[in-house]
Amino acid sequence: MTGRALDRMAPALLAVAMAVGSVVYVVDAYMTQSRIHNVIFIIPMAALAVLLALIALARMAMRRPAAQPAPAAAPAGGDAVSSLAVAGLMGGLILYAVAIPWLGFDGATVAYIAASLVLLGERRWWFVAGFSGGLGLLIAWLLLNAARVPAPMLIL
Amino acid sequence: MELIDISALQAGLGILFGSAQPWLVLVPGLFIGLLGGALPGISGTMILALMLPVTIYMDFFTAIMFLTAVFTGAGFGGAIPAILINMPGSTAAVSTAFDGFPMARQGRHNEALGLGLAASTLGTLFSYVLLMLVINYASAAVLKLGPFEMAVVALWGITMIAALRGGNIERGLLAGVFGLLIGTIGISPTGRMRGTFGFPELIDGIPVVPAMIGLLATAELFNLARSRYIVENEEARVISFRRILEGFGRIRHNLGILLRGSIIGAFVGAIPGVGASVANLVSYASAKRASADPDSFGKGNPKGVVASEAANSSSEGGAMATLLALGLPGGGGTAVLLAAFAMHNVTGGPRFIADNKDVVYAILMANMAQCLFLIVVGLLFIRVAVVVVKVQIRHLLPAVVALAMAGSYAITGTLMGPLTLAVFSIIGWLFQRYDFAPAACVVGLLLGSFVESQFVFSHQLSGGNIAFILQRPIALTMLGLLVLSLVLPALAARRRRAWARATTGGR
Repeated sequence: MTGRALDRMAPALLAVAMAVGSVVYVVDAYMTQSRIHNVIFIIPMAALAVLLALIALARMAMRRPAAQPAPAAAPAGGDAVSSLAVAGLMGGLILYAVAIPWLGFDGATVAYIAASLVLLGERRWWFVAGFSGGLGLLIAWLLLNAARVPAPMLIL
Repeated sequence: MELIDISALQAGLGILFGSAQPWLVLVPGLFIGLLGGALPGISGTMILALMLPVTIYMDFFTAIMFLTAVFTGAGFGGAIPAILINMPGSTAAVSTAFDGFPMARQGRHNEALGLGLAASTLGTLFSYVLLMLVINYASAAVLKLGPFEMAVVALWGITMIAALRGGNIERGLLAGVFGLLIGTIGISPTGRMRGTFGFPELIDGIPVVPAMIGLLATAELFNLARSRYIVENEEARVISFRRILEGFGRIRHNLGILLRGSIIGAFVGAIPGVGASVANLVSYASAKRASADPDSFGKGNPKGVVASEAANSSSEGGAMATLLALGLPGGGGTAVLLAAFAMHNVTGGPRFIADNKDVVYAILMANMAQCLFLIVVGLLFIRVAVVVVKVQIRHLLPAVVALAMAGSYAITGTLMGPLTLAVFSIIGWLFQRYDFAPAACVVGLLLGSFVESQFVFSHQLSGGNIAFILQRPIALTMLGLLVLSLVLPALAARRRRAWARATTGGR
């Protein structure tokens, strides 16, 4: 499947995912406890989610391909940042969160800032090192000492 | 019942001006609130909670003056990142971003910030004047709203944001309903674990603030990744104190919207659990509906900023009414204030007003004074905060994402916050790209467990008989308005399409 085809199908897939997720949640809640107060709100809401997903799917199917609303465009005045780089920023955010127990909040923050700068086109290595090291450690220090959150740290 | 108790008012003035100490904490309080509200990931509630221990060594009135100053500052502070980087500092500023950020993208950030500050200060001032006039009557009015009415108000807010934003109504509603459902994950009203799928971290539900930041803020940042600056036009990136002041002065052209937003905010803010998060949306939707050019909303219409900021700020006065009259916190901010009451061995509620009317008047007048101070402190603060538009996106994006990550960790104290932020950033990006109304999802997520509890209370009160709704005229009116807010935009869109077809001769 090409990227463009996936892009066209994405709204339908999202609607289906939300409907299926709602039903799975209701089933889980019902299996946990079938008392009315446990499901009085979520059953109607899940039914509504399925209905809205069906309406959305029907409207997408009825619309001619040319009439499908275009996905939100990238902001004007674009730089040379590729879609792959944007995907890398988002995937990197998951890695950032997952890496905190291993790299510490400070190490993971420094690594994410450095990687993001490179992905966004920054090529001055001294700037990448200085900016990511300085800012990452400052944010981690504030978390540790100003907000007094005992987050895992590598250096601090 | 008299409108204002003059002798209590005089005694209140005595409390207010009897000591310099309360005045000394006012400016620092406003500045801390502005900073807390403006920093992405640090909510006004969080900064209020952080400041609570500071008030231990203050007397009761000084403590309340300080905390309400933080509250007032944070009320406007949330608008600054909403306008500059489309990252509402709080849920109360969600609709400020709808037009504030497009204004910033057009290089009108100075005007938007000035206008927002004016709407915020005047909205707050209005709500406290109104509160002073109706404090004796307010508690009785709020008591008439039962759980079903509260649930309908919350659903109405979500419906309007989904229906009135333009685009696909069904996708917007689906996002809102999905938000409501995931907002109920965790412990159910019957005390059982639901929807956690074996993850004990989800017992307390999905962390709302990291999810909100992900859906609305970091997702938008990823969209901006291809730009060099938030404001592309180099000339437009100029920080102009004069233009901020001009924007401030432009409020005189929007007095009708300011008044309507302030009234909506004061009344919605008085409803516990709803407050500023819904008030700004209701006011925004109302301004859009009443506008001769509704299509311009969401594209940088200053009226959208005024409607949102007037309502979210005036809701502070409404929330204070509920807090003072009933002892009920309307949201996180007033919950902290209630905790401050308890710390100083003061119990809020109807007896508090009856026994300490002078203190209540002093608190109200102190808040009015804060509004005037906010104009000066806010203008100076904007001058500093607006520098953000001069920073390149490639440097701003990693910094803001890392700051949001730290905020998410600080709020939850566990890895759950950063993970939630990461997952909801991707969901938010998908929602934005495919027109699924992330803001509706956020409001649903915020209100999910509240609406569910109101459903359960309603069921308990009615004894399982659904016909009891017919005996609730306020609920029926609100339900009617909810249906209208769904039907009218659809009819208007159909009429616009028919008109466009007619004018183009069916081409």
